[in-house]
Amino acid sequence: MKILLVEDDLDTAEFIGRGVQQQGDALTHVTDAKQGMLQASIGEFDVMIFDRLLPHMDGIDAIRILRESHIETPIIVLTALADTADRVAGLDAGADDYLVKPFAFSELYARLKALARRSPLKQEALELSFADLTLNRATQVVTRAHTVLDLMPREYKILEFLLRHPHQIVTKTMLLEHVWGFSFDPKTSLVQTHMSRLRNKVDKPFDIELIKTVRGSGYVLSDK
Amino acid sequence: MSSQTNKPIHFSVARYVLLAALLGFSLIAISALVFSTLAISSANNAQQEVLYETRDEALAIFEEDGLDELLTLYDNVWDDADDPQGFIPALEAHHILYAVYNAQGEHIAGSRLPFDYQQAMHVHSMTYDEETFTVLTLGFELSDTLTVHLARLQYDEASEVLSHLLFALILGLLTTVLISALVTLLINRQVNQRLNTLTQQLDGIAQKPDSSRLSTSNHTDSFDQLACTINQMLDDIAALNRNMQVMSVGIAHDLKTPLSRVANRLQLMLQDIDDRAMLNQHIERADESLRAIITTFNNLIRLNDIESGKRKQGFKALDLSLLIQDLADSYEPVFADSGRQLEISVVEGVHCLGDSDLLSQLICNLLENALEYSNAQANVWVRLQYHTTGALLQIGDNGPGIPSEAQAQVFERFYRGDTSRGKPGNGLGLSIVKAICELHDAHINLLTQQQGAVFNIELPINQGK
Repeated sequence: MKILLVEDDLDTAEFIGRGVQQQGDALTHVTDAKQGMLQASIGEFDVMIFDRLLPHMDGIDAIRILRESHIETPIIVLTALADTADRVAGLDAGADDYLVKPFAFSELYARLKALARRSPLKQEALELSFADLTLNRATQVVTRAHTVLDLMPREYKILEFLLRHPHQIVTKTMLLEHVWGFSFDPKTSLVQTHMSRLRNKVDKPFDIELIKTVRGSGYVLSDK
Repeated sequence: MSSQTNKPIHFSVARYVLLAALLGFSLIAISALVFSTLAISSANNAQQEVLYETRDEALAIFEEDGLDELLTLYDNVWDDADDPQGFIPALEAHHILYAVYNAQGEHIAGSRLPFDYQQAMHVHSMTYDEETFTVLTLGFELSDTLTVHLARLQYDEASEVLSHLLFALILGLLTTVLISALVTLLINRQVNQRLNTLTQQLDGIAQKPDSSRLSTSNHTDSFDQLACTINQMLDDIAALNRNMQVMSVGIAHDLKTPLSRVANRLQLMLQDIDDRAMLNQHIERADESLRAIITTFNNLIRLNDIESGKRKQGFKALDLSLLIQDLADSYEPVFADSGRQLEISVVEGVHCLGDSDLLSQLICNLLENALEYSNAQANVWVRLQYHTTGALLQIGDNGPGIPSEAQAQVFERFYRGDTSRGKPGNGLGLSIVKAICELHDAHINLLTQQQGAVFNIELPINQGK
């Protein structure tokens, strides 16, 4: 992945830089919005990270300008501000995702991967499949190895999300946001409980385990 | 807070009262003028009418009884021989004087009028005793051979009426100004008194904002309403102040304690720097403490966000039944795994106006509290039903409940059942629940006399959606 980071706080930049380096991806780091917009327009990046509180300009305004210039590279916004108005403002300006500081690097990385590998076709496809698993969005029927699986509505939604991000790490927070629509973090193991029930139905009766846990990060749909 | 005494307030209604009074007076004056003009012209007409009536009367009597009878009846004759100048006084005395002429124009009966005979109504002007008088005359044919000339004074109603009117208007104007002044004085005194009392009291409250309030009487006038509003505002400010104080206490415990733990861990890490396993353990513990602090901060920010009321703008119509059923279904496996029973009883089709994210958080918080604090294998339930004008959501468990001495404080920030603060959590969960209720105009209360912790939430709903 080629990543652009627009962040004036050097500690955060170092934190992100180290993590990205360990994963083997390329990071370009600039410290203000103007530089950021310049780099965004000349470089070919897979995904961009914008901090909100930048010198001279709000990151959101820079994002808006980029979108108006038809630069469609996916953008994730980082901020310490956590209230809804800011979240909405970010998404309205054209950002694709929003992460509140402090965050675990694995959370950021999982989201970067999800944004970079986004294929529009997959979003609209009527039928999603992975290995011998298929999910039909119209009929809401899920089968594995031609056997119909009986899933609860939430379990179905979790599986659908995993199928839309094959081979990508999906974090607990991503699931809470997309499957439950929560902007808060419930204390209990809501995600874990549903995940284990899902795996009982999807993986347990079959030979190959498709839903894997990545310790410290989340879950991944993988057949490797 | 500044301690300067404000200058006394001088508010005056003078210009308004005077303006209103003069306006009213002008309207009356104009009406009076119009009325007088009409009265005067009709009076003039009336006077002419009298002559016409006399003529008609004379004609009738002459036709019936003849000239002699007529002359007998009309015995008001002025003989100018006595007093040639006395025409006007005679006219004043007799009201009407007449003269009868024959076909040749010779005077044959009645007074000798100082006018030549003229047919029909005529107006003459005469001077007598340095005064000008107006005389009306009417000439008409009594028969083929006889003509009659009538004379009458036209009373100068006009100038009399107008002079009376002018007098009345001047008197009225003076009275109006006098009354205005009086009314102004009275109102000013009352208003300024109330205003100054208010200002003095407010000055006093600035010194002791927590205890004193403005006094209200039973008048229920605008000043009392103002005093009530100000008192309410002072109550709100006092509550905010209390919140801030509570916050400091909470922050001291809930933030400083884990921060101290992190500091301790860092010291321990220095000591155990060569022991990989111990180092890992310290880092994990430190990480936990930091997570707790971040969660507390996030919750505080969330609480502020909710209490600021900004989120009310994003309210949408939502299916409350669906939301609650969905969430309860999501938690059912979690409760089952913990050995507890979750009973769900939701009536369908309840709609309301609100924020689905916040309402979800409310239900999650209450369910998670039930999960954490209820007895092992307890029964927990979620019920939604219609109730008087709204909906009633009840989330409860059957034990052990909240001790009665703690019940009043349970919604306060940083209040924790476990005073040693050993268990995880930061005492903000129920504060958030209460704030979400208030934002949605809903009322929450913890039921007393129950085995466990049972919460009732009354929500206003959209009927018939």
